[in-house]
Amino acid sequence: MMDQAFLILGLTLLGTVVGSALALIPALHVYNVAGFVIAAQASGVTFAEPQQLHFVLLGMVVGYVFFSTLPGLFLAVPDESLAFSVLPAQQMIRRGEGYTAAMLTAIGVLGGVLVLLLLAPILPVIVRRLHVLVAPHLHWIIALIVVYMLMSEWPFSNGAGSNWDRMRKAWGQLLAGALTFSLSGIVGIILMYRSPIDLTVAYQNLLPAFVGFFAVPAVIQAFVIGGVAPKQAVRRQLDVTPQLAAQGVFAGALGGLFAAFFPLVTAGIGGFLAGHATAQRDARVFVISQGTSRFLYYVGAIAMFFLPGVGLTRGGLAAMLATLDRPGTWQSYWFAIGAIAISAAFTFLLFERAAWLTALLAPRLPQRILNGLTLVVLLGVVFISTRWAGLTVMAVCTCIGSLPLLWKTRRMHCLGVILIPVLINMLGWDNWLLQLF
Amino acid sequence: MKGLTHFISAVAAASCVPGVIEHASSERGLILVLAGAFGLLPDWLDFKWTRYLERTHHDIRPTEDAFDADAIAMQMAQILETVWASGQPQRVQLHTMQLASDRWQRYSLRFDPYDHQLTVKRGPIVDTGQQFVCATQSVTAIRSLSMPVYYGYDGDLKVDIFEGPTIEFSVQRDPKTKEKRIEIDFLPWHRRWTHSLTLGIVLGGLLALGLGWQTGLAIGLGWITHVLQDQLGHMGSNLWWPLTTRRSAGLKWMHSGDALPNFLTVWLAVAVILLNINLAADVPQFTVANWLIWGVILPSVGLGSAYVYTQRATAAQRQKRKMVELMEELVEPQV
Repeated sequence: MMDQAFLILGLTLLGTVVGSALALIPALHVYNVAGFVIAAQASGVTFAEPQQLHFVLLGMVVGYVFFSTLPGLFLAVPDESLAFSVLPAQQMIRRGEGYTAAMLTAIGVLGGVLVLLLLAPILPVIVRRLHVLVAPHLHWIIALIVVYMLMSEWPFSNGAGSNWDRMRKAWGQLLAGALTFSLSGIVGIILMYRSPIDLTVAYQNLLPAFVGFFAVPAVIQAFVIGGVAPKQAVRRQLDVTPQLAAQGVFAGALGGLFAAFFPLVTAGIGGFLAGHATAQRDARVFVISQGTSRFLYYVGAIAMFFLPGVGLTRGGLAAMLATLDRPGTWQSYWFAIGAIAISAAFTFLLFERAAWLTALLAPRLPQRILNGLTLVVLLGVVFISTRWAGLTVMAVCTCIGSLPLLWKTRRMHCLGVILIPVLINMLGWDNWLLQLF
Repeated sequence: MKGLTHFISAVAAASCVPGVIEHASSERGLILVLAGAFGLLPDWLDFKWTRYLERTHHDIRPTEDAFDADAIAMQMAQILETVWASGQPQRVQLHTMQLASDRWQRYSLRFDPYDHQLTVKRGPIVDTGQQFVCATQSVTAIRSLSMPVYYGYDGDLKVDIFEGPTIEFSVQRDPKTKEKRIEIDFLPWHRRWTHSLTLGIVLGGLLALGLGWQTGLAIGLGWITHVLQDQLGHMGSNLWWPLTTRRSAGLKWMHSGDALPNFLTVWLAVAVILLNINLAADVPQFTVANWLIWGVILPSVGLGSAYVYTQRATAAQRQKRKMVELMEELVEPQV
């Protein structure tokens, strides 16, 4: 038993170090690496026993949640979940508070760990019951989220011009959002029903779309602007009270758990809904809440995968892990919870130094060169995974993903790529849709 | 209330309509989604259509390089004089001062109905989240008003982010004394015809005829829930449009942006939806007693206490702020 525990701990920490290091490569998502590992394992290359691999990948995800914040903040290469929080955090970077933004995110992640530990004993009961209740209702719950996303967009304007000018600007933004959502949905339908991407890499089907929607437009924008981060202050005391931190963690926990539990709901959507539910305004609370939300979305979903008797496969990694093996015992559940806690504590210690170093180096970083290199990495990852078909999909999605940047609408609308096709499927409307192809 | 609060409350109200939950699960129906959309529709119409269709008569457009509080106060006082003399209502658009992409210069107006004064004051620089960024040199202008004014809201009228507020001045009679006074309406285009119970009932009735009674009832309830929730705040709504033309005063129990009441409402709405799903399930997963304790009573007591505590703190802060503002006015008034 003790040997097993130490082995699991060792594997988790190995995964944590690897995940942390990989997360520093801009735009490389942990799921891409996990996809390669699992595909290799499935084709006969054995890295470890499936149960052991679960913990390596679990550690990688914990490391990724912490460390991907740094390129996301300082190089503006967000994944979908970070795309939502990067704007307020980047405003902090422009004020020279990049280190504070990074540490507030880390505090949020630690808050997420605490929430997960507190909920761990009751999570099996709650999740099982909720799952039984909600499963027949998922279609309208997801439809509700879509309708709210579209209806709740607020036109940004400083009030200049006549009524007609203001209305034109407002509706330009709103229609750009709706157009982004619709076009993303069309891409999603094509990828789901007639994907040009080879079946042998079907597990990476959405990779080029996500890179195109979220990463490439941000990198191109950063490249074009070519700004250099101002000198970053490293303060030992963060300007946040325990009450503000608790508010952020509470809001983030709601969003993250919601996203981890419901299919198709990502950390971005969960955080957005939780932010609206708790009427957040303070940028610090927002940044903390996004840390918590991302952690519970990525790691909470895996914890739910370990739940005995429920076996929820939420999120990309859980779906990939399920192809190897399903844990399903109380022992593996508690091992997973313990591994998450230790891995997170270990990563936090590494992260503080890394955040300090990044903040120190940020003003000296050749941003344009790094953005250029990032673009090369992105193209390389997409090409290696999905070849020319993937690059084509990525190019199309980059055009669509640029609409929100040009019209200042929500980047979250690009999630139409998964929301629309799956919602159509859930509503049973896919038969008539298939007739179109 | 916030958009999500209205939206989810409308869904909760619709989930209480007999058969709607069953219809949603067995026939993949979307009545609840329609109810949510109609629950948000009154504000959607106001903020995305009505605000652009209403004409304003005057624009207050301060310049960032030289904020002239006195000029604003004088212009406002002249508008009030014109309204008082002509009896014709006038709408004023107060424009914001954007300094950078995330920086706004806040300024405020205060109508004091007791001392017959209008105070215009430059505030701090804030970010788009309306959070304090840095202080600016205090500039204050005070103008005496020659007519009685009625201002139904509390505190200063702050102008900071995005499009500034619109206010309407109109000559009305005090319902008690029957004497004439100028009434000041905040956002005159908001919560008028769109926030009408009558419209909710008629709309629900029409949709019931076309789409069935469950759909009509669910949608009508969604709309009405929105209007009633807004009535808990300060601004109120024109509850019986087209039978009435003016907004009825709100109950003033809370501000629409208060975090805790909004969150408590969202929580309770989700609890109601879950209860209805549970009651409609083949195998219920919890008892009503458990739902009451864990889903309603404990969260309500917890969040309610937190709200009362924060309100008390806010009252103390408000008093302190008032004193600080008074001191500032004594030190640096321009007029």
